[in-house]
Amino acid sequence: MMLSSPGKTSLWSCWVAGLLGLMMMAVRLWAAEPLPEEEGARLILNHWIEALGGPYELMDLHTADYVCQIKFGDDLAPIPTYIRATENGLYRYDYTLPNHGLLIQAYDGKSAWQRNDTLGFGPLSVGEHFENLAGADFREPLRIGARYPYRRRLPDETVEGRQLQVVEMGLRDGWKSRWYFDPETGLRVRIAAQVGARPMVIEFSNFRRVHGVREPYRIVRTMGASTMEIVRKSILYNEPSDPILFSPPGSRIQEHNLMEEVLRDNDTIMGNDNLGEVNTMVVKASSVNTSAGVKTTSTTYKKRPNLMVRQQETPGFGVEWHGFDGKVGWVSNELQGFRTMQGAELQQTMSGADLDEPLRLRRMSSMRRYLGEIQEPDRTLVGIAMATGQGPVGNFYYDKKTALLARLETFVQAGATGQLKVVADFSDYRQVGGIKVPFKITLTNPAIRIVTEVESVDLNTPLEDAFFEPRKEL
Amino acid sequence: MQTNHRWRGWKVLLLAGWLLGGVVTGAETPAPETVTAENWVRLRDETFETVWSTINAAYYDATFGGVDWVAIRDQYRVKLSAVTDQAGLRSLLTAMLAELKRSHFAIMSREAAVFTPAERVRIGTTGVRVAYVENVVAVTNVLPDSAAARAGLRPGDAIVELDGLKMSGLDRYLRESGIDPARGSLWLVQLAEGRLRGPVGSAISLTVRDPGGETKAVKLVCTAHEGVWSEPMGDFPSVPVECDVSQIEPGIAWLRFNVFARQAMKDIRKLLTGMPADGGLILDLRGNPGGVTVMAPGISGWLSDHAFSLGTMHLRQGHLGFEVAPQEHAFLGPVAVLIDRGSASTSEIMAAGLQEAGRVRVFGENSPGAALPSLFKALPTGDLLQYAIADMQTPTGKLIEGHGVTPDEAVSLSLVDLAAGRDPVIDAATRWLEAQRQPSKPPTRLP
Repeated sequence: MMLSSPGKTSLWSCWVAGLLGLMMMAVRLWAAEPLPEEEGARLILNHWIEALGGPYELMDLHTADYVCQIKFGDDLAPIPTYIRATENGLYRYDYTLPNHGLLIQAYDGKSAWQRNDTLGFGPLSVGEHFENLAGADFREPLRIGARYPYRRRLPDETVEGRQLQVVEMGLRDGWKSRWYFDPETGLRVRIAAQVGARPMVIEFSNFRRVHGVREPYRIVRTMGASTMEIVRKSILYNEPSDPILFSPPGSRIQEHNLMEEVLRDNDTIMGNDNLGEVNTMVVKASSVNTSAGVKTTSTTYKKRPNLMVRQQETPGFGVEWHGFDGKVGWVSNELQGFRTMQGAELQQTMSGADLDEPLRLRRMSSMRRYLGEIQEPDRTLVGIAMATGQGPVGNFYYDKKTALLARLETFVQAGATGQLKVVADFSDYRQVGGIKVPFKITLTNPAIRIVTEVESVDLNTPLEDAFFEPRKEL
Repeated sequence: MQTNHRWRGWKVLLLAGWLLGGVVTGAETPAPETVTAENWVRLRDETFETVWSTINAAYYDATFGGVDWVAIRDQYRVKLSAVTDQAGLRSLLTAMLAELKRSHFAIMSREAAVFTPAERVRIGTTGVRVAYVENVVAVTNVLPDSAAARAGLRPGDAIVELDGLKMSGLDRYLRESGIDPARGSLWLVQLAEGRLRGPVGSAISLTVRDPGGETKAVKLVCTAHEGVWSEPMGDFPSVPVECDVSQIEPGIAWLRFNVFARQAMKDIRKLLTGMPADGGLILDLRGNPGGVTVMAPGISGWLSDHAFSLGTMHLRQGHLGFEVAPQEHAFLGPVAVLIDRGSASTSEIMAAGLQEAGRVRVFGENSPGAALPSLFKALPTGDLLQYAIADMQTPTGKLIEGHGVTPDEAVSLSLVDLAAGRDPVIDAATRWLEAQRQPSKPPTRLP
């Protein structure tokens, strides 16, 4: 472990840096004549910084290494996580995922990226990057002046029996959060805010002093019904850090660029840029389960932003309705009655209801792995495994010549709890309006083979929202 | 981390529900090539290969339960050249399928299957129902004004001989061959039922012995089924559908249907949604060989005010759950389910699932343990292959195949009871329902 040198250079730079930090805060905190509530906030925030160890101790932190366990809910095992960060914002998170092994998320000052041997390599989303940046920002207290131009003290609140001081903090974009401070210790113990439609609360506890700075060893974030708990096992400051740790591997970048090119070409040929002009889509199709000779007819109706209804008729089974009305996913048929969907089945239905799904697919499945080329008698396929940080989405195979999606290996949710591994082959692409649609889809599982042929696709047919309401009566 | 479902269904989402439906149904009228002397060898060989490869691809267990399926193909293929007709081919394929030692693997003659109204003459009725009672196949019901009634058959009559087949000899042969007694009795019952539902106009010779030991020989002529038929589902043929409802005593209803088919659903739903809240229900699944599997959770939804699972079917690559979704106006009073050695497949799945959920009390005899979800496929010769694609587990992980469902209260029929018009299984269920309906004893609450 390397401690900061007490030599002159270090002390000098510490002084200069500290002064700069104080000036920055001073500018922010006293630039205008403070109102009483602003002055109250300033005092609390200054007290907090002092309680943490003071600006000089904070300015003396150059790198941080956190060994943590992150737990998402009670049902899931904690994820061992190692976080490295530098004073200039570089970071690297090493998560050990239970199903997929090591997942690295890192930022080298130029690009924020992630990599996993199973899931692949790809860029982090802006949201993920800023969340990581904030989580690894060990100098955060010194930056609040610049980050939060709006600060004012609110009346104290009693939370779980403790009277806490409250400061409302506002970003430049107007987003506000309430920070709660323990008046005795001066430490920030809670943040509460509204994130979209969901309330978020972050609680900090189990403070310990490391290298002169007090750090919370337990952080619990509750967002709506989901809870994430971070338990810090150890914190090391000012360890030497090799810049290469934060940089993406060169070979992965090359492969990533190659895959991006295929996906861009696919976007172009599919006419995905024109999807925005599609407000409704009605698809009529017939399917044959060749494993059992069953023929089915279906009509699927979709409307922006995410409404969907499918009517399907199967001999011996009758008519089944299946839909999403913007809030509720539902299924209704003669043999099983009516039910609403939950969990993975609902998510699958919602994504299917989204006319922009092809666009979102690329955005959400940011991790990719190059599967190489497959030679078939009449074509060459380029394989790309797509994944999110949560797990694989599927293996996508594009025709090298046409850039059209030819095959997808994935899992489908079947019913409320079922899941089947399937291979979907897409062919007979036709131009409908400004977009391309596969008119033949063959779905194969070892037990079942279903061939679907699209009979017609109609775009922008007027459909009332009421049409998508759940059908309880059969 | 949880598996990611958000994008998995991309583009194939709309087929997912279809897939589930497909598993539980089956059916398209096959248009087979007519078998001639010229094409026989080709059709025979193609049929053999289709049967073997279909099972090779779809069998739910990649290890085939320890059976060397490739070696089995080689073993039976060498016998193929000696097969000169369809009957011989059926026998060879049936023997090959028997090597798997699992239920729901069978070859069905196309000539015996019904896919169109005109073909309904292939399945007639003699108006008699049978079950395995006291180690014999016995008459349990005789429909009024039927061929059986006119011939003087009565409940409690044991079938001694059927079209020259000595039933006792068959029973002994099955036992000596090491066939599981539960499976053996199911097979005998199904054999007898098949013979008693011969083509319309055909005659069946029958020798029966009444409980007093008197034997008599009768000849029954099959008449047309005048009731409802199921619609063919792809390669799964049409069958007669019976749904009987009666009131055992005030407030206690008895429901029986001969097969899980859509055509019975309307009557079932009407009964369940119209049951008095303080009533009791007897769901009689005796002799019910199964059918459309999703009807089991469907019917259960009208018996529950909360969601639960009846079980999970495990395919080679994936699984499907039979989840019960509670329905409006569901009947929440006590339910007794009756099973016997003829309650197979969907009947077993439903009885086991409801039993494990604590929703019902099961009365009767052990079921045969023949509960593999299956499909039907038309073969090049036109015959039909039934093949299992999944194994079935109850919510607590018990396999139904080979084990069956054990009733909470074991009650058996006797030939004397049948002859006297008594049904001790219904009597036991009725007594229990009455006790549950006593004001001092509230109905069994769902867990």
